[in-house]
Amino acid sequence: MIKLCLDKVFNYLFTLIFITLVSYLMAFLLAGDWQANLVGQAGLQDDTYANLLHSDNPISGFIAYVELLIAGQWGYNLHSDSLIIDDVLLALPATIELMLSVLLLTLMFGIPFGLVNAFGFGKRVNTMINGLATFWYSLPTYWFALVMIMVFAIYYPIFPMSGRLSPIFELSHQTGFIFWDIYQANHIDRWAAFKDALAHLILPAFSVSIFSIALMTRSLNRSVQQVMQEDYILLAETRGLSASVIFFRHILRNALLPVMPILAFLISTSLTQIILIETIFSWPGLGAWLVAALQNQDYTAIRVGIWTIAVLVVTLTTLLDLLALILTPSLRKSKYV
Amino acid sequence: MRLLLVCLASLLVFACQDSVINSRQAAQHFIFCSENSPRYFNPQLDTSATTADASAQQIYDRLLDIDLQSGQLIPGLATAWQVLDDGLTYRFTLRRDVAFHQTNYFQPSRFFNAEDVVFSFQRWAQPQHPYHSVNHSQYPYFTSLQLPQQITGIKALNTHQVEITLNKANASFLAHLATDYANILSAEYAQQLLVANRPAEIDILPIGTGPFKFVSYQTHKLIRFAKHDDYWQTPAQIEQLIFDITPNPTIRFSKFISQECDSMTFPSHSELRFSHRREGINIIEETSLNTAYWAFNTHRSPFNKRRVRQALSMAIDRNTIVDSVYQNSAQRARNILPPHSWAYTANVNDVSFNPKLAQQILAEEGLDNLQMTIWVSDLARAYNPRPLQMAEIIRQYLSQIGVQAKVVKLTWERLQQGLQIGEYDSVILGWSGDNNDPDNFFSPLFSCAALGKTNHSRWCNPTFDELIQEALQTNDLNQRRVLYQRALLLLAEAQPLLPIAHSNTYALQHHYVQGQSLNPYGGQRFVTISKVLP
Repeated sequence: MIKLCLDKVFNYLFTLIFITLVSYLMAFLLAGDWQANLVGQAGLQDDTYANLLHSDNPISGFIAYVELLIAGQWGYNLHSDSLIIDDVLLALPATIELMLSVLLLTLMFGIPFGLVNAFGFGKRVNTMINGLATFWYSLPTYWFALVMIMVFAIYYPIFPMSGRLSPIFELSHQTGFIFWDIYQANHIDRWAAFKDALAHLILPAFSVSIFSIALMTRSLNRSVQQVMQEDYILLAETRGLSASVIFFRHILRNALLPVMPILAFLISTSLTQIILIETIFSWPGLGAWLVAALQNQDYTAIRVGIWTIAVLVVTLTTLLDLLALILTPSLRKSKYV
Repeated sequence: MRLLLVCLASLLVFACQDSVINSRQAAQHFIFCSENSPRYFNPQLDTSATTADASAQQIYDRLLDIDLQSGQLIPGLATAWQVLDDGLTYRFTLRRDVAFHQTNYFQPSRFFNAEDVVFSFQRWAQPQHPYHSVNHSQYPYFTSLQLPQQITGIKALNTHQVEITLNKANASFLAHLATDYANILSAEYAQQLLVANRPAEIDILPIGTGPFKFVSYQTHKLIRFAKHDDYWQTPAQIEQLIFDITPNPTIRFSKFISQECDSMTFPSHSELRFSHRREGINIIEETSLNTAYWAFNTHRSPFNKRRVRQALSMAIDRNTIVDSVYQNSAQRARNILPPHSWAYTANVNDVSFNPKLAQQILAEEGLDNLQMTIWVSDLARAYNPRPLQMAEIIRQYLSQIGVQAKVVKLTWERLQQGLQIGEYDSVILGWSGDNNDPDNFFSPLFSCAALGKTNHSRWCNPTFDELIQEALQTNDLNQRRVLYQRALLLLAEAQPLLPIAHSNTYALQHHYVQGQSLNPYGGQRFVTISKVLP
């Protein structure tokens, strides 16, 4: 068990180093002056980056780069005076908030739909739900987001389609987590702002989570089918246990376990999709910032942005893998996880 | 499980109410979807519509205003004026008890008076004024008209009388004072900033007497204005005015449709069609004073040759452009003046579409394989809803006569910077009238003094300048009309630019918005707007 955990951690560190190496090398491979690509025009005069810019050989340069990254000195945007870490910290809470909403929706909808086999509705309902799930699973998220906007924002203006909060509310950036910021703000109508923020969150969250919900439904469905064929379920029924007891104590717990690793995959996929979707909804998160950097050919921001997202995805995946390992004893037995 | 679904359903119900703010609250806020971020909040500093929209009619007032219906000059911050000494002296009586904005960065200690007028004029008229070079502007509108050279004195006779003296008569001088660019700043605020060593803030955290005061600005995101309660005219009916800056036209229109914005301007034709079919959207149409044009850089060879310019102009079928770019909501231009101008005449020889002749002339000039650039910005303007498409059509027509044109697409800011340097072959631009005076279309676009500032064909012709100056010396409309006709004939012969179309301008608003009209002479006005929500 310990060995497996250590394996995972070692994998993680190795991946991190690789990602950092790639982002370091990108500075040399992208067009333009490599020094400006590393720290931005404004950073060329900044002493903080002196070690990095004037290193003797690539290896000590890389070590200096890693040190700077850990210290939070990520450099300046290529053409402007703003620090990249400031931009990222400004944008990150928006992406995390969307991530968490997607996760919540996946669990709230994916689990009930996935367990539908166990509710005893009958084969037709099961097939229908499974079929729908397969359909939603194969839809491209980008396209689906546009369809959602078309239907729920344009043809029937129910939900707003851009931003996180209506500009009517004068809310300045405190933590970046808008529900917390609203709670802290005393000068605005907090209840109205809360409802407004929720309305803004719905379309982007649903657009991204449709894929995760579908995947969760399918996997859970399969898992439940397998569990329901097990002998101990038959035994429980023979014993005369009530349906809800059988459901909660036997089916649910056993069906959910194999789904844990899938959650890790879902989260990393959702994060990637969120990055793409943010531009459509003008959601001021990491994705929108990165796309703007791409359009402006801001190589420093592109490099660091890619690094940030990669680190985020890898970290989340590893954490969830570890969690799965802890919760699922059966996984511990296998040598290759 | 059921509980879960109930919770979720109730959450959705809460979020469903559009804007989720009750009617009374929402009526106090107005969101306008604008298309670009202004650099400064002072129309004196440039001639961009973005700056004017964001500041001219919101934050500031002028000595004179223009009546939107008749185009006549009416009192603004000046209640009366006298023209003395055969047009060399202008004496203004100023309005009393006009309050400046009170904000968290400035508290006025007095009402508006002559000192503010003197400061506002001296800033652009006198190069040695301490505020002249603040934020590095050339004050393009005024310098292109040579007004700083014409003004010999600006002085306050008493607290509510100002006298401006010129060295020669100028029939359109009063009209210039009614344009968006002649806004009145606060001298007290300027003094305060100078003492605190922060003079640049005068254009970044602005103070004026207008119906809205500045609250905050996030570049590329939004501008916030609050109602000025002590406005000298009827105060605005909305508490908060917000400019939601959305450069992407599709997203801007989508935001408007989903009611995240209450109004927007410059819709494209397909957006207009959609709005016609959709219930609840009002379309305001205005036949504005504007002209879109394709200007040649007459300082660059071979565009310094009149025949080459004429040939290139003959290669373009402007009717096609009016059809496709403007979808027939424009008139083909015969000359630089829009038909509504009182000096307009149709009796000027307009260049006709003749690609064969064009090709022949170019061959005669030895320019069989001419290569040129067409500079354009993709920002929709009042005079041009789709500049890129226009550029592409022009490029196609040119290729049919053997000219290889390259369309260089730039952001509005880069275009402005590039125009000042002058390394372009041709550029697609336009001009929106700032007042009813025809000189507004001649001096800024063609005079020698305006070269590089607003004269982007860089054409300089002393005879033309003389004609224009002469037309300013007299107040006799008939005489002026004759002179302007001669000027138009000169322009038709020289062809420094090709006037393309006079566009109708449109604004879209939801049915609950009342009181908005389009200002044909300048920036957006919101003081009369109200929202009547159910």
